[in-house]
Amino acid sequence: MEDIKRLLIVDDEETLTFSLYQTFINVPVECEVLTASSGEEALARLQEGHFDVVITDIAMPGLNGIDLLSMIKSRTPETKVILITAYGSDEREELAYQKGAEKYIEKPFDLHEIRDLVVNLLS
Amino acid sequence: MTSKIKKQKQIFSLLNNRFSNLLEANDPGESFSFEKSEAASGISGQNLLINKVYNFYKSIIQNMNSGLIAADLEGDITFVNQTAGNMLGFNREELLQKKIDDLFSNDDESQKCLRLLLLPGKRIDDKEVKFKKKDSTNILVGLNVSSIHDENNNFDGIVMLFRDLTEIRELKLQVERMERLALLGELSAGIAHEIRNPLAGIKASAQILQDGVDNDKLQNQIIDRIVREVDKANRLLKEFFKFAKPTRPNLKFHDIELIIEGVHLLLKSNFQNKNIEFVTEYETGLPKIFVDDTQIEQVIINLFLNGIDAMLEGGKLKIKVFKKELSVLENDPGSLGHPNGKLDFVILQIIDSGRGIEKKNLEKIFNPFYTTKADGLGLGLSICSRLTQENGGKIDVHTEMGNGTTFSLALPAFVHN
Repeated sequence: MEDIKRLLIVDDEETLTFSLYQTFINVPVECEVLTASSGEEALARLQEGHFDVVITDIAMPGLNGIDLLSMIKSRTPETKVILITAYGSDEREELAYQKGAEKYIEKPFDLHEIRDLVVNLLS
Repeated sequence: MTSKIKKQKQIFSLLNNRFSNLLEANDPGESFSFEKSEAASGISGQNLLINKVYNFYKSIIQNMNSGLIAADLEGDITFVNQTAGNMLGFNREELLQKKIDDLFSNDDESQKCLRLLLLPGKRIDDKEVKFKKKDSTNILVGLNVSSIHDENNNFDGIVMLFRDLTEIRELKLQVERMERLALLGELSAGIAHEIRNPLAGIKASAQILQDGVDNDKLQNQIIDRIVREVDKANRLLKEFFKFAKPTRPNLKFHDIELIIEGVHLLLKSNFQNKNIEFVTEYETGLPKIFVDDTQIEQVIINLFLNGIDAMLEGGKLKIKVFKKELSVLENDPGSLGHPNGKLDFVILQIIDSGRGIEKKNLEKIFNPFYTTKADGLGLGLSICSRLTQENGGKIDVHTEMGNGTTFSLALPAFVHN
């Protein structure tokens, strides 16, 4: 039997986290969806187990998304990381890809687009 | 004119005497040691020395970058250097015909300067004033004025030293323009960030509804969240406009104790819930402050709430209020245009026993949209700073990691605009 895929959503914006959670618990791929409201909470979750995909916001109080991406890539390089941000800039996008982000998406984004992307990565 | 030349000679003679004393004290410095041997060779040697010293000072005074003008007790100009003439567009002879009042472009300014000098020991340091040039245009100068005393220590006139501030002012304006642009960029980025976040939540929620939700409870939950996000975006804009365009303060005299006690009453439950002790220490005989009480109340509420938030495991918020005389410098934010005078302020210190602010964050705390709080907009302290300035006051912060933070407000206890 194939392992259940695991997805982690990290954002201090509660409504967006809730919407993403509702979306991914209903995708046609068997996956476990967990959420974290800060970079530090995400790190704790990552220490407890492996994740296939992490969607993380960049600007969060405390540990930010870019630093979280670096930490994930140094521990489990195979984990795909999608960065979402309300504070877009070309420099940030370049930095995100340099650090190994799978995709850099600016808010507000199309829910279907991010859903299809994640389903594709999990399949 | 003869008396003016005599006066010039007197000034140089005064300087020369001081220099000779230095030589006699055997402490002239290496570069002048040769002069001492000449001085020792008799009267002609002494004259030679005096002439050398005279020429030495003359060349320093004539070639220095600052303008130098001396005047007697009647206000008649008795000495000018070359730079002063060049800066003002007059030749030296023309300036020697004038009174110092004629130099100032503003009569009030000249009167203020002269009045200050009548007080014993008073001097003027680096005051920005405008002088009138020969072609009737103005020149902005940084002016230093001190008194001249005769050999019996009687007040004998004044000496004014000034430098051209036109270029410095231009540079300052350029920097201010750049700072304004940088702030505008920072503000735009901050607004974009704070608006896009609720927009992202609203869009994602709306798309879930669009795809169809068969659970009524979930559907209502999503709609509630959309409403909440719209309110959040609106709250941000309201706060932002408060920052960008605060209402003009309605300035009146108020009792600071009453304002503080009112805020404490309002936040009493916040103190109790977080197990924070509220301690006050008021100096006796505090003057009333001349502020907009509602705006200053808002500042104090913000600072109290920050203090409470900084003390996660309870603690003490100490309020210390005392009177202090402070210099009000011209061109300083919140300045009131008093010429180097000292005025009464009431200092309100809000001292928390919280975790303190990291040094790297300290310079950013007054920037709009800077926050370390998960649910903060980052406008609180920038609004505090703006409102304090609008009320003629100043805000300052002192912090030490692990030892808490002190915010100090200096609030004017005098009438101002």
